[in-house]
Amino acid sequence: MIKWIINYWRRNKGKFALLVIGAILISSGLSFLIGLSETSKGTIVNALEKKWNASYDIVVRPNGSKSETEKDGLIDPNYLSGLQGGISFEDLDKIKEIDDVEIAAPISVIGFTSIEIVFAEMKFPERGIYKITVNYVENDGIQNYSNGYIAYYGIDIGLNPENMERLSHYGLSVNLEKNVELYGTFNFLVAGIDPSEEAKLIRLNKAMLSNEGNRYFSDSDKVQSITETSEGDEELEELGIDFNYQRVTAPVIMSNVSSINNYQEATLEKLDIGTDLESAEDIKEFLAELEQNGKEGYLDTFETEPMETVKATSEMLHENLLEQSSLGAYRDLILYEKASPLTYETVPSPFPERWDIAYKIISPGDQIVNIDGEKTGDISDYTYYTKYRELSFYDEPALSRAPRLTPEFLGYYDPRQLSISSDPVTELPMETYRTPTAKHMLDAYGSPVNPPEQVTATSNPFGYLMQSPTMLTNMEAAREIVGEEAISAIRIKVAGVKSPGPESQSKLEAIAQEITNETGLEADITLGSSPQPVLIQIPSVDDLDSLGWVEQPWIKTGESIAIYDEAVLGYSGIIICLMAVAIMYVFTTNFISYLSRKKEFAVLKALGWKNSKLRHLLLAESMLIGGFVSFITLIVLIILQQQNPGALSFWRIGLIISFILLIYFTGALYPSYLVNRISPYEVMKQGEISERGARLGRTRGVVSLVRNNLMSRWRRHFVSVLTIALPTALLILFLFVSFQLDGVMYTSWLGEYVALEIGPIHYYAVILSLVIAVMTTAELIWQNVLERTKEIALFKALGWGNQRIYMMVLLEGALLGFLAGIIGIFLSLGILSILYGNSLSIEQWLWLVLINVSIPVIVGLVSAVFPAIRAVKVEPYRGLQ
Amino acid sequence: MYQQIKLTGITKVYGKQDIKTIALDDISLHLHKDDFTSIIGSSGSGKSTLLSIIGTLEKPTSGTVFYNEKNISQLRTNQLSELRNKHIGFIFQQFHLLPALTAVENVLAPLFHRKTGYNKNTKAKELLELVGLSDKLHALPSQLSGGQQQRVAIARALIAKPDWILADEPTGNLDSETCGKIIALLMEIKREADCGVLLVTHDMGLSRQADRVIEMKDGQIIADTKLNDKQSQIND
Repeated sequence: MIKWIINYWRRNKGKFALLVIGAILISSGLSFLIGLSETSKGTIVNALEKKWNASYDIVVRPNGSKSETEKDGLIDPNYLSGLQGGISFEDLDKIKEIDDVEIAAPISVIGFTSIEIVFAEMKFPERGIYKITVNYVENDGIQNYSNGYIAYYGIDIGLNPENMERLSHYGLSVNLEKNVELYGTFNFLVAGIDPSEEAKLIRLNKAMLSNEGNRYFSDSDKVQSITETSEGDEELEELGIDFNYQRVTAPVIMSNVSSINNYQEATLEKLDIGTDLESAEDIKEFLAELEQNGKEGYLDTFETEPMETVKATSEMLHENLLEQSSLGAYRDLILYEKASPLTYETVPSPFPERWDIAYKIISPGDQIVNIDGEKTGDISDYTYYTKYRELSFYDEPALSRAPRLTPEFLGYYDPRQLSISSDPVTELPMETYRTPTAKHMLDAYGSPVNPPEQVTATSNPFGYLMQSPTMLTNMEAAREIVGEEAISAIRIKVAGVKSPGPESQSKLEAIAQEITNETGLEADITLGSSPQPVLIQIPSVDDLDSLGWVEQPWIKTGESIAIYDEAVLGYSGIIICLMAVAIMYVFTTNFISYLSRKKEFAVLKALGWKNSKLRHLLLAESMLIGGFVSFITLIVLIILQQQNPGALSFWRIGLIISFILLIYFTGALYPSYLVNRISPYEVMKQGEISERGARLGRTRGVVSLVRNNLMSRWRRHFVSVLTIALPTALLILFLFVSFQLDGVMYTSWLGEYVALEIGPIHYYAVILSLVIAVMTTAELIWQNVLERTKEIALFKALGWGNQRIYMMVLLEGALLGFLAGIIGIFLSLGILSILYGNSLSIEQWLWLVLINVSIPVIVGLVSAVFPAIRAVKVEPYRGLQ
Repeated sequence: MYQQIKLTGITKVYGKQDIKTIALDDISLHLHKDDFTSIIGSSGSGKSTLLSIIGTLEKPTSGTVFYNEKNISQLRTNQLSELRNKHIGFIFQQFHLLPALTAVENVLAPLFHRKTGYNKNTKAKELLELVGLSDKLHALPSQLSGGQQQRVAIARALIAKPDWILADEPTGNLDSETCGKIIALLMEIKREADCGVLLVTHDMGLSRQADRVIEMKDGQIIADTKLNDKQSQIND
């Protein structure tokens, strides 16, 4: 039988070539696409899992801590810095008891403190009057914020540094040594964590530096809390000293990197005062001069000779800190500023095409402070910070009641070693240990900043960007310092939730609901969140002008679920479409092959062939091609698998191969059924053109002739119409998703990433499907032309020109395409309305119709070209035989 | 071995009530294997339909066909196929060779996947030799002339050693010279292969060479003549 079939193909080379082309197209296309989309799907899930997967699934925050922005599903990436407690330890226990809560890691934002650290040592080379200018310069990427002082030193001029009274007459400092140490401040955020939960959540314990003496928290760490007060101490009261604070001694670990960007700079200059102050007389004369002429003001007037400049960046300061083996020297870390939230208001975006959401930071109003006998007036007079947030202190701006943290220093950790997603391009902003970033996009006048500047956090506790915690202590310490409701947020990991997907989502929703029910706290699902660029307007505050607009990656919750759904839909869409087109192609080729050999089968039946034999012949033929297709597919898939191991399992390859064989098997079923109905008597019939036919209206011209011709063979044409309509509808869907920027797809970075990643594959699949549709339709029209050879010959004999015949066949293709277009419009409308509701604009409608009609018609026309050429070649006498 | 074929009350109607065409009208007929029978009639007289029914290509609307004593109207499609395959050889006006097969393959087509008591290939070559095409064994139908194609068809009809050869206007598409040769070949085969021949034609001249001539008109037999013994019967 196989020899028979092969002989048949060998002698029908044209037909066989077409078959092989179709088979290769289907097999390689199908396998390539399946392979590719499998790997891309893997890439997407990987991207969702690795690049954007937060280390926690749910974040629990205090009730009422939600910002206005969360109506848009957007969470301020800095949300932690604004949460000064609010969750009780009781709530934490309740949450820990919920089933499937694997990790519940609390974090308490305790507040800001500072360390003073020597950043420079200046040498005075000889006797004289020196000027030291110290500048503390911070840069947020937009501008410098500088703060400094000038000090004058009288060196070796016989003044006693103890005698403050006398020195104040001259505005001079005195150093007995020939050098002076300069101190810089180091301002950072302290947070409390649960060491064991944090170790489970992000392996904080593994991120400890391996230096000697470095260690992580342990259960034996003790926290002590004592109240230190001047009350009742008569001696202190007599001196007018008044303090009352909590001193908490607690274990701490510290980050080994600075999360802020600043430097301290000192310049040493020698004043050219016209005398070398050699004798006591000279000195006395100069000091008198100084006292009379206005101390520093007078000193300012002298020419200076630069001696030395020292500069230390925050990184260097941090390193200095690291080099000091212990923080034990810092007995008193005064916890001064508290975390305070930013307030946003929605404003129209200046460039809605690029950022559809924009917020403005609302600067807080003036805060009046009134502490009897100490401080009155505008609170900002007592701090050098620009206040983008409500100022908030442990003690109104005074230090006498602010709690002290006495650190038991355990060691340093490296936040870069933490087990958190670490994509350098799109940093997930919600990670506690990662400094939030932003980009300065527009200046105060709305003009673009080119190139955009990277904006970083400053040490300002009330700035618009907040640094991440640098010092960590345990929850016990936080409880002593902040109180019973010390927990700012709880990060939750749920058992059994691995990658973002519908199942994970519903499980997390259930647990979030349970948390809210149990505790009344806000529980938001962070798994599957994506960074979404949001434009933030930085207003003018205090005496600082508006900085313009920065773009900041915000947390768009639930985003990857949406993306996942779309991606899965997209993939299923292309695979289903391609498979459907492949099935239709196989069906059509089998059917057409049957039609063209119907007479032969009748002859064989007349010669006494049984139906079963013919059926076997047809099935064997189809399976032979199917086997060939499978073979090519297998090779392509194995190559793909070699290149990308793990993306395609052998099981899946087996599935694809079986599917292909199944297509070819089912494709042969209909013809082998039809073969039963062939009457051997057909061989006796001669010359009938068409036995029966459906008609739709009268035949008056070429158009109605073509129309009636299509109608009379509507069954086979319906298949071909579907093969064109299906990919066209899918194309519309892809175009719509790609170009509708308002939708979910492009607005978040994840969406952009995914859309970019999968776009070409989708279009490739559509093109492939359309090529297969062209082949299917071409075969069909070819068969139509063959069957109507006599008819065409007759038309020619009746005087029709070649042009007219050509037009007739082309028209047949165009009409098929047009019908496909109409079906395509309904198909794509259906899909779009399911996906996006009924939200098409007039313009989108026009595009939809235009694409849905033009592409199928083009496909139909292309399909008809070769059959048309064949039809033109028909000789008029053929009809008269 | 079917010596005779008997038809009783065969009627064949095409189409439905409104546009009914009666192709055969109550035909009864007795055919003997020893005869070279020709059926003659004008176009539309029902002669080809009659041949189809005799050859089991079609079932009559009413009436019965007997092969010897076997009522073949009761046979299922597959049994009919087998009957055709083993006992009937067909020759068609349009030859109906399979275009993708060579001459020898076409001859072998009826025996495809069938075991025979003789060597099929040798037999096929012998038959092609018999019809004078020993040099065209591996030619494709498209490389053969009309007469040559019909010879291949004749060889194909003989391959299964049938009891009967049914020829439907075998010379209809051929010129008169070739036509004579084909008829001569059929006569020769009749003698050599010892099988009954039923020849449908509209050519009076050709029919004269037969032993028995059945004349048809409008679905009825209007004359049935045995030429050897000049005896004539008229059958309604």
